[in-house]
Amino acid sequence: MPLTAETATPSEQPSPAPGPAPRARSPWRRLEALLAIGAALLALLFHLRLPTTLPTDEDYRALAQRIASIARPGDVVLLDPHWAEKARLFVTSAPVLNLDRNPTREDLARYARVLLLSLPHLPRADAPAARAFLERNRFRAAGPVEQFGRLELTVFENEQVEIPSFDFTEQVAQARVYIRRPDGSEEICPRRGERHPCPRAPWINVGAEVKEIAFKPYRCLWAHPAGREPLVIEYPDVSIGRELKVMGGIVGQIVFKRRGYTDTRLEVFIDSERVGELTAPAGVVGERRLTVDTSAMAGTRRTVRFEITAENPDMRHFCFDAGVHS
Amino acid sequence: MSGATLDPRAPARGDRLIALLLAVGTFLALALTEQAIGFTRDEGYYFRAGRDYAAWFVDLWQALVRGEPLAAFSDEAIVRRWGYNHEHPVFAKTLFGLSHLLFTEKLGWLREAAGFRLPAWILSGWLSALLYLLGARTVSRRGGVFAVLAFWLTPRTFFHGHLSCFDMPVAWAFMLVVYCYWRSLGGSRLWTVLTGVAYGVALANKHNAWFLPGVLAIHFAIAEAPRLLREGGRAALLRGLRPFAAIAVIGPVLFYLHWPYLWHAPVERFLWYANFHTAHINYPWRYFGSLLVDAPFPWFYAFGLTAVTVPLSILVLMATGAVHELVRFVATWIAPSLQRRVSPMDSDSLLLLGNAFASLTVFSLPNIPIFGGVKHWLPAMPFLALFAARAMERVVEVVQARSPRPLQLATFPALSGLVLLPALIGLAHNHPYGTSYYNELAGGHPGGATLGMHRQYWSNNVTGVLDWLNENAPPNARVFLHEVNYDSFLAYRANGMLRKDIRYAHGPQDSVIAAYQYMPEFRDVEMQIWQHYGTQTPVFGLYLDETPQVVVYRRP
Repeated sequence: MPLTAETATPSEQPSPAPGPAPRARSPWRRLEALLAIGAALLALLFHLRLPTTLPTDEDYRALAQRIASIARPGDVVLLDPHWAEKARLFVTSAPVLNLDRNPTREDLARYARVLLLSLPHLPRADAPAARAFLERNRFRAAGPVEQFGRLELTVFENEQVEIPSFDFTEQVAQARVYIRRPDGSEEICPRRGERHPCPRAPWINVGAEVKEIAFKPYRCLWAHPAGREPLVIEYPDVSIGRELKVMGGIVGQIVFKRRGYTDTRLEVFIDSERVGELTAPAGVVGERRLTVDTSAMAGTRRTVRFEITAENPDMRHFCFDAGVHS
Repeated sequence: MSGATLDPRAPARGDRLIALLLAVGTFLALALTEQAIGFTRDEGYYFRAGRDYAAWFVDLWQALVRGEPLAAFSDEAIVRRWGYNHEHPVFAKTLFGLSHLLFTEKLGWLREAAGFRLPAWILSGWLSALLYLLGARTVSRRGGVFAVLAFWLTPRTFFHGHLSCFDMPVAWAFMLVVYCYWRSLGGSRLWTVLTGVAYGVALANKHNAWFLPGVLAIHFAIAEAPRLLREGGRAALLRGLRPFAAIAVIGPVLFYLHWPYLWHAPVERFLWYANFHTAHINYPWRYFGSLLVDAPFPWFYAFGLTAVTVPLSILVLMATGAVHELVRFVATWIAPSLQRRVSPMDSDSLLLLGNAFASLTVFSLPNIPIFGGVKHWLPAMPFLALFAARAMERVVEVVQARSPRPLQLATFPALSGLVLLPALIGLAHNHPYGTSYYNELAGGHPGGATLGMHRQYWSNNVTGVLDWLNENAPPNARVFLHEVNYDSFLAYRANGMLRKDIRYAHGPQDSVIAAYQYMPEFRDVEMQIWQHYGTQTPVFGLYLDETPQVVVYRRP
């Protein structure tokens, strides 16, 4: 609708100041005033309260001392909220875990105890949610919540610790690593210390590292594919258990890029039998998991082989972790 | 309209003095708080570009002295000096470089960074003056002052005002164009020409200016054209279109003339520049828990980020102010029955409305790259501040209606103080880490982190650990300052903020100390540091209300 003479303020006239006095009684005006004054008061209150929610360095030191006195091998400190990593400055007697916004049972399954370090007074803190997550995932509180100023510590015990009986990542030194050429011959990646650098390219260099997958730290095997020719990581004489579990994914921010990149495929073989496959699709964020039922072979000793391929290996920063579970 | 007294948009008596005081106050506030602000990644590039561009003027002078003035105008001579960073026009960078040449190199009055940054503070002051002058006539005199304060007490805005980057200069240029256009609506030939000149300056600042004529054209079509046709027929309408003719003619000519790099190959080089921005990549950006990497991006992204980065007390006034104007718009052009409740929208308010929403809307479209946060819609903020000022006037009116007469005079200052105080506290608490600020609605720094918002960007927060580095780094130490580019690294040394013997490392592998800047897309960098150093225990860090910003590791 065009501007009419009745509705328009002629442009020669300056705009009127906001409406006439009787409008001060309008409920909308009153609501606006209430919102404005209320927001200002709430904001002031926020700034007054904020310092009272923050732990001091003394709080951290006291808590770190307590952790040092109770920590055992197999313990891990879990942060709540996940980003509160200032604790790393103080806590050195147990690993400190930031599992970002998507922790899973699998991320914690190998730890006997989780020491939950909470900052419950921070704005938007949700300590009950962290506790509930642990309780949902087969952890139970093993003691009271301990206060250290504005920090809290709760010990949770894992009701079912899942430590692999054979850890492929930790045992990488005993693996045979090679690239299988199209004619079936092997391009050996000779062991050098704890790693297996392949002559083909400096980044094809299999070894255990701490890498970020989906914003979470994993100790895993760096296994950059060589293309269609499989990068093979072969473990002889592995004692097979009930299950073989594999986790893998693309490291770093390249995971978000789809165009121009291809999926990365990890195939698992026991002796000559292909028992499973895990794919890290280009552009899909998150760790991928595979569980192979090996109960029929449990107790036997076999060769386990992982073969990693990608149609286009460009920037396929692949890392995986695997273990035999009895 | 020959005399200022006949022009209802002209400043009233005393307004120019108030505008000048606000400009000087803004300049001083920025100049006095600048030293603590780190060098953003872009600044490192612009320092270098400014030096190059200023060197061309030295070349020109020397060529004149030699009697070979044309030597400086050859394409080779131009490309040598203007070829760097040709993805942006050069108005602001040239000012930065010339200011540095004069005030730092020749006169020695300012430290390195301040020499480059000085023009941005002057333009920021000018922006305050224009905002006041517009506010004094479209809100009230005190409302104009309130708008200036509300604009600058927004911590991220205040941060951007310090930098030798384009964001505040382009916000100034937007305001300049709008102000000139607004003044030209009375028919003044001077302001008509100035509108074209201002638009040329805006184009010379940054490509944000491309869509500004569209905003003005919509305003003209809806609010001005019908009136002109009604009052003076086609002749009046054609006269009214003069500012657009000025924009169309003077703007591109000035743009071409200001940029020597275009002189010898205008079409080819302009197309390269335009293509660069129309196909700009997106940088990963965390937004309410999601890492945004590729289009489509969330609708209303710019509104969502604004809602958690403008101090709550100012935000509420901006929001109610904007809603009020939107309702007026609807009442005027869509649902006239609403005019029983709100006054119809006038031409000036429509102009403010268009400019308040244009930048926000553009950056809320799902296919527009969103790297860089709030700085991209900074040109909207002065107009939202004017709406906040109008809202404040209405709030004062409501409160005054319930106040005893002796207290009524104090209502506006008291309520303004109440609204602006929490913003001032937040700004002081956050300074100098502008890109880290989250408002009370978000829950401050901790709330922003828990909500899954981008923690920081641009690497300037590294200043929080420089003192520690200077005290603790071994002699000649190679230090990896994550995300700090080489130019910024050199600038820290040149400005005395980093020891001269500390050397630049490209990554953790060739460093003995690493300062990791927390950003979710770079999480792997921290783990590379763990891997190379064999430790996950930092030795120092910048933690804002517990949120890790910069974490320092030392090779054991």
